[in-house]
Amino acid sequence: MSSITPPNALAEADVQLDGDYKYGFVTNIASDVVPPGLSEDVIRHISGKKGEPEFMLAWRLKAFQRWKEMREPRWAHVTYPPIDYQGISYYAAPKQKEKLASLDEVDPELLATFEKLGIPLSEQKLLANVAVDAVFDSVSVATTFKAKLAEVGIIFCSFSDAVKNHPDLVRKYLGSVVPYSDNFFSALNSAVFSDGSFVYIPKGVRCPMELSTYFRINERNTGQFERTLIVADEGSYVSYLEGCTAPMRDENQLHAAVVELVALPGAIIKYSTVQNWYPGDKEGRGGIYNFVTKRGKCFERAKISWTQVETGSAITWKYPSVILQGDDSVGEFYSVAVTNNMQQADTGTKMLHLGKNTKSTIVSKGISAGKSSNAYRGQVLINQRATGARNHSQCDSLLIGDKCGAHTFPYIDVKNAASTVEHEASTSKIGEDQLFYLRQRGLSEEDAVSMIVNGFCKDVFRELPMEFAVEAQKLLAVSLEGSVG
Amino acid sequence: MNAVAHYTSAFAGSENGLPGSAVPWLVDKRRAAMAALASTGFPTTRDEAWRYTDVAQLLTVPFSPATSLATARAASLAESGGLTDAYRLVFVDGVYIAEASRLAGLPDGVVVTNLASALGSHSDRVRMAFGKLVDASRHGFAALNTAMASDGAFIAVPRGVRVEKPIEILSIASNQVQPVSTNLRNLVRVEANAEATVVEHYLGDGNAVSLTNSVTEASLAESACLAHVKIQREGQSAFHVATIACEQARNSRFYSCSAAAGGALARTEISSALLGEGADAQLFGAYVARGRQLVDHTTFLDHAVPQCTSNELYKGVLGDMSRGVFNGKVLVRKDAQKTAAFQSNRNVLLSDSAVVDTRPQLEIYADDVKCSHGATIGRLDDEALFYLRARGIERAAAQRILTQAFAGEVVHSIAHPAIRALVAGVVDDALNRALAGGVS
Repeated sequence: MSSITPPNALAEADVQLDGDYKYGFVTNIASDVVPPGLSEDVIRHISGKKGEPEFMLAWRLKAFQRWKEMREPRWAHVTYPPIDYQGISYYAAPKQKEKLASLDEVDPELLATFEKLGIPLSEQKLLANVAVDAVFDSVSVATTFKAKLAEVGIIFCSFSDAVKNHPDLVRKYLGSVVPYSDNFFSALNSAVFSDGSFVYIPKGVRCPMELSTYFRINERNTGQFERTLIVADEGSYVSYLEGCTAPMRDENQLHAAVVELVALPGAIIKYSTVQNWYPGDKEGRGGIYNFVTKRGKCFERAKISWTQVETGSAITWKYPSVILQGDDSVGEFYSVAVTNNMQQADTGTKMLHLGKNTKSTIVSKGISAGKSSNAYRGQVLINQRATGARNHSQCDSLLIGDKCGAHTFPYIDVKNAASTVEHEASTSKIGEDQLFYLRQRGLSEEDAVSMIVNGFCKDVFRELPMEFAVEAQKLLAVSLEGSVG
Repeated sequence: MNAVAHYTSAFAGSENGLPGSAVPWLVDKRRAAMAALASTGFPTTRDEAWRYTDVAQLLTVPFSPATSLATARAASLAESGGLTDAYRLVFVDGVYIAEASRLAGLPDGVVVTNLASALGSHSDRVRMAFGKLVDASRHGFAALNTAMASDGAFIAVPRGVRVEKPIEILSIASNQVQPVSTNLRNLVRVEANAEATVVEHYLGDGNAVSLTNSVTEASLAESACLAHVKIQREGQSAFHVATIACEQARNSRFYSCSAAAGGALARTEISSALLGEGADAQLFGAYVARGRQLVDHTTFLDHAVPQCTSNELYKGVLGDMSRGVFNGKVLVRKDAQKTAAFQSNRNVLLSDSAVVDTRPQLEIYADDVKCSHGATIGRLDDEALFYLRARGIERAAAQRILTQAFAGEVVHSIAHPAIRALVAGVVDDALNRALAGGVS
């Protein structure tokens, strides 16, 4: 790094740190909201409202019992005022008269919202070849491409539908990767989850298109508790895209989702996320608390790959993990986490090597700007039986401005000699010489920085499906707009 | 009786016999430390910093200060095990043995004495240093040491003086029937432009169950230079907890090397606060374990001001069912621009039952910095072994060559030839024993 102090680039940096949140608007749709508070009655109400079978209610109640005994975790490198769990409304559904057969019947205002978000449902069929299961608040309102997927036997539906139509599959796999007792937030989610997505790919089927769900928090004061379950049967393949934006709010909104992936022998699941919940304003008011439990289980020769681009939320607390249970299974984690202003992120992964010859790769890129705090926290565990296991982790941090923090907290536990684990991490700022080189060639400072940052994140972006790669680069540019020099 | 209650009553029983029992500030400090221990207790694996090092077993043993001493035996052990050409303070079970010590010929103005004497002769300086860098709130063992410290070394090097010969603090855990605890408190002050080498050497005489709980506080003035080498080769049943804390003024240099070979459970905590611009800390460590040994190195580097540099290299070889732990943390504070901090932890596992837990951490609040850390865990390179065997070197010898070369990087960082040779001997012995357990 050169020792020359930048002319005034860095001084200007935080002045310009106000790339406005471009997706902040509220849709006025009459909602069916449960009054704030959490009790057995509320859970019974949610379950009843959704017409769930008895086993689901029993499971929710068990989770609630367990949750009441648990304490909120405090080990993450984040600070926030205590959450009043009794002050949250646990269910909100857009008022709906009956099941809609086509997009024309959907509330036009709702459709307009999606237009603003850049999800042209009507056009997507033709243009992007993407089936979208749009979750507006908590209930699915439109599902497309079902027929096409049904042809090859793929089930892609809302979680509520799955509970009704495929109870055996749900019963078999729900909680098999993230038990309801796993942690405080997963227990809460298990008790009150409203809806989410369910995917089942049959044996040997390669899903013909990228599956995608857009989540959206809308109803004021409504915590969103999504539950996603993806089961890829033997030898199948699926790529799943999750993206989210949320309207501007003053109060913090809790988001405690659970995602479970099951990759049966030889299956491949690729799960990509672009997370852009409302991060709060420049003083750190408002913004989403994003406390997510994501975990996948790999059986023999299976592979799970997590790719995430995290730019939003006031607080991100998220560790997409892979349990490498079967021999020769593979886990991957590619992450770009950007924090600006007062945002806090404590994110990373867990790779639990239980089977022989299991392999995992971790590439994490953290970018902090403003007064934000960005921490990587990851665990690599190689069990005694997991001989021949291999892990490589790389965690790089880029600091923009002198008021932010970048932290790395890896936990590496190796219990046999026949394994190799490597961890590397570095922290630096954008090199003056790199900037100088690009500016000398006629690039504006902004473009130069954007080019360097994109290069820094390249290893992760190239793992994203095409549709997301474009959005991710846009998001990165918006998140860091003018913040660098 | 639980451990806290045990030590509370042990303290009440022995308080009047401890050095400084007539010095009011020290009496207050000891009582406050005991109160802190009573309220917070000893660390458990629920404490993030002790996550992998379970001291529960240690706490079941009712350790107490030694009552009888084998002075003559100590003198011969010191002669055979210690450095030959060095100033030396000898402690047996935490008690200073003047007869075995060797302090003649110190340069003018240099003070090397035991803490109990220093309380009389250099009372103000002891008062300033005692507890400044390690206070009772750090953890239960630091509190226990503060309360029960029976003695220790007091070393002060005046401005501009270079002490050529190493100063050795030799602590011997003797072979007692009762489980004996040793609480040594060492205070080191190196004034501006002065230079010294201090060796903390922990020996065990036999395989008695013992607890060594030492605290070293070192303070470096501007442009001072301190090389600190810790050699730990206590018996297989010994418990060992050491806390070494340093503070560094402008342009000072702190070199630390920790060689850990003995003990059933051995934890060494090394920290340095870089408080003046241009300060440099170099931390090295080599650890070899076998059987059911647990060796823990926990380091903390606090970059508080700009333009400081630090470098860490810790290497471990783990055989049988042993366990290696490394917790390394580098904190770069908000204004500490132009910091360069590098940290590396490398481990070789000789057996499938050995375990390594490593946690290299960076916590950075400044942007114009260069920081990196790395950790690796693996086994001996098959190709390197094959290369050596293809040249007619038998397997065991090849393994010895490779592990010695691996640990050698740390050993060779020691500047003083006699100390380097001593550490090389200790590490090689430990490697041979670890390799004898078989390599998988």
